[in-house]
Amino acid sequence: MRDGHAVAEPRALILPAWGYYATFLLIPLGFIVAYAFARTTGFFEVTFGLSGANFRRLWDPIYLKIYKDTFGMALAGTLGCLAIGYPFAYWLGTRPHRHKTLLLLLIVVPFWTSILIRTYAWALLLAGDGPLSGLLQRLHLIGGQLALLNTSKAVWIGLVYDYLPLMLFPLYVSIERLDRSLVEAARDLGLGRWRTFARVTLPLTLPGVLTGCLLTFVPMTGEYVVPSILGGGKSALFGPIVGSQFLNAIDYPFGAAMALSLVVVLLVMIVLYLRVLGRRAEANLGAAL
Amino acid sequence: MGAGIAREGRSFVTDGKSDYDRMIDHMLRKPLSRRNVLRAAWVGPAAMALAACSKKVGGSAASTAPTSGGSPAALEDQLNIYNWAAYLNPKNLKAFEKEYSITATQDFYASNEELIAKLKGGAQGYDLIAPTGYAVEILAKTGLLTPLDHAKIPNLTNVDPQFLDAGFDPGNQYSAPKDWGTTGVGYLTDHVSEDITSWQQFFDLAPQYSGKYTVLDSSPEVIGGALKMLGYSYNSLEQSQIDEATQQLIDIKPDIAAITSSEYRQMMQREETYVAIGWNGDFFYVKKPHKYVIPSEGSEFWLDNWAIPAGAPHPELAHEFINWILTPEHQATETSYTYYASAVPEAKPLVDPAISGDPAIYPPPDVVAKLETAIADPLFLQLRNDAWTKFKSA
Repeated sequence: MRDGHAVAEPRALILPAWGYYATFLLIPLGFIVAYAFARTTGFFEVTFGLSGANFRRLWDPIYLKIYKDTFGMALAGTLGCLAIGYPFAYWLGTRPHRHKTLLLLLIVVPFWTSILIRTYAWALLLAGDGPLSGLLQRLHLIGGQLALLNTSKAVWIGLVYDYLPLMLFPLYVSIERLDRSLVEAARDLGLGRWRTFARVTLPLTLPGVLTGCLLTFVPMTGEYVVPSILGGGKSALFGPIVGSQFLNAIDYPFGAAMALSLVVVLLVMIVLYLRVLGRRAEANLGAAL
Repeated sequence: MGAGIAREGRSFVTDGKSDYDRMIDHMLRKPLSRRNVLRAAWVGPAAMALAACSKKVGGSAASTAPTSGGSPAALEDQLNIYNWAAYLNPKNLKAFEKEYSITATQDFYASNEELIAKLKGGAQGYDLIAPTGYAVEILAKTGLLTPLDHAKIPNLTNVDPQFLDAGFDPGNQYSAPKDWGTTGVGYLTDHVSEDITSWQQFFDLAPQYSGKYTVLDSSPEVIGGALKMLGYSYNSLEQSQIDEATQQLIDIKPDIAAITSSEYRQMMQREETYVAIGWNGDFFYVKKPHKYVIPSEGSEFWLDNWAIPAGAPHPELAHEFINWILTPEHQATETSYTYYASAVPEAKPLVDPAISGDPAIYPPPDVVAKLETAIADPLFLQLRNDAWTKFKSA
């Protein structure tokens, strides 16, 4: 393709994507913005305007607590993914080449199954009369039945499990690309194992770490399925609460305001991420996705 | 059923072969094919327009089924029902299919909220739905229901007048009673030595049975119970009363194992929990020794109804079905399957005495007198949902 002819009008190639995002992202987002400033006046009746009442309602301590709990849970989930993901990605990134594809595929395959099914599977596993409980009791590690299901710990386990692949891939990409001769050089020049990791490996794979954290943290803040199924209805996280505004209260404007506030907070985080990483973010996100 | 979530499958509770059958039914349920949906969207309104001026309605294969009740228009050959799971006796459905030589499909929803959201979102192709009273009001006010032609439902006269002309649908313009039930407290008698008779006891005993309690994941019922305990109306719109009731719930939150409308039967069956706020018919799937009580302070009474969505593709057959199901025989068949009381009094003698004699299903009149029905009001929904958010995030 060097004749220049084929690359003359590459802009047309982006039209389908533009059309798609305009139709299915920008227009719905426009609705959310419009609704967020509207007021509910009856069943499915709203008066559009520029009311800030919905956002003022969000300043109530109840909703601020939901923000705090949601971000706390997403942070804990992200750290959990990182703690499991980094060593594993490191191990995977240093495997002989022919095994890698198979191992990666083994990680991806469960990811293709519906999140709903996988989360219900966890509900069965963690149940008081489930297999995990039985095993732990037989090993005399716990006295009674396992009391894990319907707690925020169960939500955390479900989140870590469901989002682990999103953490693994960017980590794997950055670790695999790591120039191993730099690590060897550091060791040859007398740095210990841990200091080599802290001063060479970690800084060089940091884009992967940040990308992985972003890709897990952001969707975790809006997660609906996991807290609904594993939390026993007791964990008031953002996703289910937004859902209840639409379904139970039929208060679309307030639900839209909640959703919009989260979008804004997350956009700020993404902008910060891009600032910190600059062009490396592009390479990392592209490779990971 | 209040702002109910699930009245769905009993699939996990031991009930022998019939359970298995229902699971199979559930798995094999036929979703609307794209073609049907298209036909529903395009042909439906056209067919309705035709119905106004022609006697022959329906698709190319107009049914030759008998037309009882002197229906002037020919019946369609298909009926698409959108219902709660396990909420229509398969025996009745098969009998209706056979009698009218039609095909019926059934899709399921898990809550009134889901039904409302789907219809509001433009779901097409359904002929019959089974919303609870307050949901009928919301759907009717939103223009999502077809007015019923009472001339095609003569059996409406079989219904006990106390279930007709309800506040949520004056004159039964949009709905016909399906069955009714109550919200109350169920508990396992092997584990709970006290005789629970009131909301007060329910709240007082929570610390003693900490971790063995569940409440419905539905704010009107649960906050309504606390309101009743405090001597207020189930439908109170007073912020101070709602706050007081919510605080009662927050106080026992550490003792609550789960806030669930769909799992409590299984949890009681496995003896993981002992005490639950739930709907009367649901406790019949718990095979461990248990008791269901309507607390003495009063509680909620709900009425579920048959209704026809706006733009239903087969409205004639839907009317015919409502009329057909309202006969005492078919009502009795329903009650023996759903364990919910029929609004047709003549059905009661035909029901198995074990069911009809049970005060949990047919409570005595003095108990019924103390029951209230949930109202449909935007402010009510908002106040309940706010209180619920407060309770959940506490």
